[in-house]
Amino acid sequence: MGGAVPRIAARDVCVTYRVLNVPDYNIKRSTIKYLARRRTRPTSIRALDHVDLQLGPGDRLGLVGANGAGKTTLLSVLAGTLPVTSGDVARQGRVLPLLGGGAAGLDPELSGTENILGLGLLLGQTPEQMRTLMPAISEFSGLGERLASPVYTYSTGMSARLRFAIITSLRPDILVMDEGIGSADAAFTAAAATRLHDFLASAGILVLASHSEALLRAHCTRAAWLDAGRLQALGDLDTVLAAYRADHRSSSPAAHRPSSTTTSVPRTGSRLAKPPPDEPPVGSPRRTASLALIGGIPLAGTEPLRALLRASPQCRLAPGIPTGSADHRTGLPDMLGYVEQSLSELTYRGLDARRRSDANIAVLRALILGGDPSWSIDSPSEDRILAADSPRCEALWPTFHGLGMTHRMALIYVLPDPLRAFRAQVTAGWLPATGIAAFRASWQRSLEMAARACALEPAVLVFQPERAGEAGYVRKWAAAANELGLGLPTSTTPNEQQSTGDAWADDPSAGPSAEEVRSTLSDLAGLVIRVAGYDPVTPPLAAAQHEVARLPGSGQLALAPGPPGG
Amino acid sequence: MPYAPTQAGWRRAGAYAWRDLREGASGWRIWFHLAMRAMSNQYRRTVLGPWWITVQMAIFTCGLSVVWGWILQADLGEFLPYVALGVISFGLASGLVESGARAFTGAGVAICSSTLPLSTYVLRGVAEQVLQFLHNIVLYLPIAIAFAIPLTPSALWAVPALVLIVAFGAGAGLWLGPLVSRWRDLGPLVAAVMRLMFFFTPIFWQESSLSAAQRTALSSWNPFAYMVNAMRGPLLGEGLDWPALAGTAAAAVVSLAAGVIVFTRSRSRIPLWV
Repeated sequence: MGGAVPRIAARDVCVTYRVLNVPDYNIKRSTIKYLARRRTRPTSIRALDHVDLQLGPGDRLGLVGANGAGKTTLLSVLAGTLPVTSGDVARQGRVLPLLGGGAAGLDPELSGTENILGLGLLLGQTPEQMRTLMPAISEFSGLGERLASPVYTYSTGMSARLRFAIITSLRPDILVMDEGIGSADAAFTAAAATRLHDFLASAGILVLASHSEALLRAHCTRAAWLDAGRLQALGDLDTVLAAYRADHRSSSPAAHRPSSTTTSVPRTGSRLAKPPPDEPPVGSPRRTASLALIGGIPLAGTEPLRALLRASPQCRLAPGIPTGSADHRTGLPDMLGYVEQSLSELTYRGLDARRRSDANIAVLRALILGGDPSWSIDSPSEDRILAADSPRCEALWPTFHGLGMTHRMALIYVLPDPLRAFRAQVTAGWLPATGIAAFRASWQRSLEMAARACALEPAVLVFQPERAGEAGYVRKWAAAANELGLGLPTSTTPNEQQSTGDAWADDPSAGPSAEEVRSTLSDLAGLVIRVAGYDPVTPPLAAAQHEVARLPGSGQLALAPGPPGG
Repeated sequence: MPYAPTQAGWRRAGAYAWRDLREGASGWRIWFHLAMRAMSNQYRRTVLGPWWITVQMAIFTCGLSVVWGWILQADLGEFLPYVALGVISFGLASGLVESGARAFTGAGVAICSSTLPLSTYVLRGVAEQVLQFLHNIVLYLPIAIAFAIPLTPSALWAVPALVLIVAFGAGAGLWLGPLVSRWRDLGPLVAAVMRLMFFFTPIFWQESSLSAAQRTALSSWNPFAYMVNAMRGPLLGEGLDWPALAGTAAAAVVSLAAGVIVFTRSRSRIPLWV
């Protein structure tokens, strides 16, 4: 313990990373560049932008912000492990950082005991001090005899426990941490929480960056919201969290971010001047927005995509289906192959298979290769599509948000008629050709997917109803949602429920009226774009524009924020 | 240990760098422990442990002396101590340079997760090399006995030589370490040059056998030649080699000066480079 009253004051702190591209590390290239007087201006990322922050005894600050907003940079700067570019950080008291993944700072070759000694030394303790702390650390870590075995034999959770035990037992005045203890088990998490509370009771300062509201609420009283390196809000935890949540759910200001593909740090103007959340979702002042596509079948749904992109050049589309691959384009050959294969099986109204297939492939190429490289369409295996359900998309949302996506868009596409859907799915090998049971299953699945996608409260809903009648489709969709317990608004009546068993014999007259459908959909999303089944006479672009034109006060595609609250 | 803002001027950066060096030096327990740990890690689960350093050196020097002694038709009784002490001295100097080059690149995780003075990592490397040297110099005793080298007080002139070589090495860590962490290609280059220097330095050949022109070409510009001579001469009972010691001192001064300048300039950027 330093004995001094802990304080930390960051004044006008800027941190700019010069992104050293790998070629810049190479002497040959940098010399050639230098000699050729072709020194490219190095890319810089302003990770912290004039940040001022004062913390005194007992302050517990939670940091929130999208990925890449500068949280970790701020933590490192406060901890003193990273130099500032300009500005000044004054610290009083002993600052210990607890940053990075579970085992960061531990030597995997050494035993737990040796690591206690080693990490202690790295943090400025003498060997004697560490030896006296040893029993307490060993007990708190709960590792017992495992402390004698090398750290590489530990699980991630065990390493995290050891590190947490070491660092907190050094009695810091100021503890700067991220979510590194996330991998520990429930018992240790509870013990860690107790220890943090003890620490806080002794008027230490805690700075904790986390995406988990539960964690922040458990330990913090104040919060700071970082966006693109700027301190957007600083104050009471609830207020800041509410503002942050409201922002990342919906709006982007009129001062919209450039759709740059080179910088990973999204830049926006001040979002604090955002409109009140009770603003009506449709017909509100025009906004530009980036879209994250969630859910849906990225198949023949390229028409609505294309329509959207054409109608609004500001639209950026994020992948709807999570892809595990680092190369965003690996899914492309599969996708194109699939489209080719499936479309050659289908005959569309007014177009032969070959022409239609070419058209689709051209669109895909344009979208994937010519478009924003930060999104992709993955191979449309059914597993993956079903994996794009609510929890998974919910988990992905921060990532999309980090890419600069401010709105969610659900794309619901159902193949033009059920029989065709069945054939396409069998052809693609999604389903075995075992008759109508499989067909029922597939139909049910597409309904479920639509329902799940809508449960994510997209700001924009693009859907292409089956030709048999949009009313019947929406009715089944709502019923599927209720079966899933998603609690979507539904206009299902007892009379209509009788007919849900007969999923493909649609009688448009039995469903809700077109107005009812429209209002149901409007409840689900801020903007609904209905794209009629592919129709060479009325191309989708025109269809989309037609829909948009129906919205009050809009001459071009204008996107409204999603439903408030929820 | 805070960093100066990367945009800070010389004065401010200098104050921070000076404080870093001071605190780094006074935290000797930390880097000494780190060096000990690295050494024992390397020979973990071997029977001999760090004594392998001694054994490896014995095998290498004996082999080298026997083969080259035979080729050059030298008297083994003179040649073996000459080569052995030459290899040991050169090993210290070159080891210091190479570990100095790795000082920061090899400690990326520690630099990013702790607030130790950065000079700690340089001093850790120096301590490691000195420990290694102490394991090697043990061979001096059996060699002196076996080849009847008189153990006179003048052998103690090797101690100032050792101090100066270590100072040279610490300086090298301070200037080479940051440069290598910024330009990664320098690392392999340093290793290659040091391998070449082994042949440019009078280790298994004698300066007395060279013509004046050859001596100018090979060893008069070569700081490692001075260092090896300054260390080996006294140990072989030849007394103090003044010119060699002066050359070593000059190398140490230049290296330390370069070290302080480069370290001051680059200190707050090192965490961004590693």
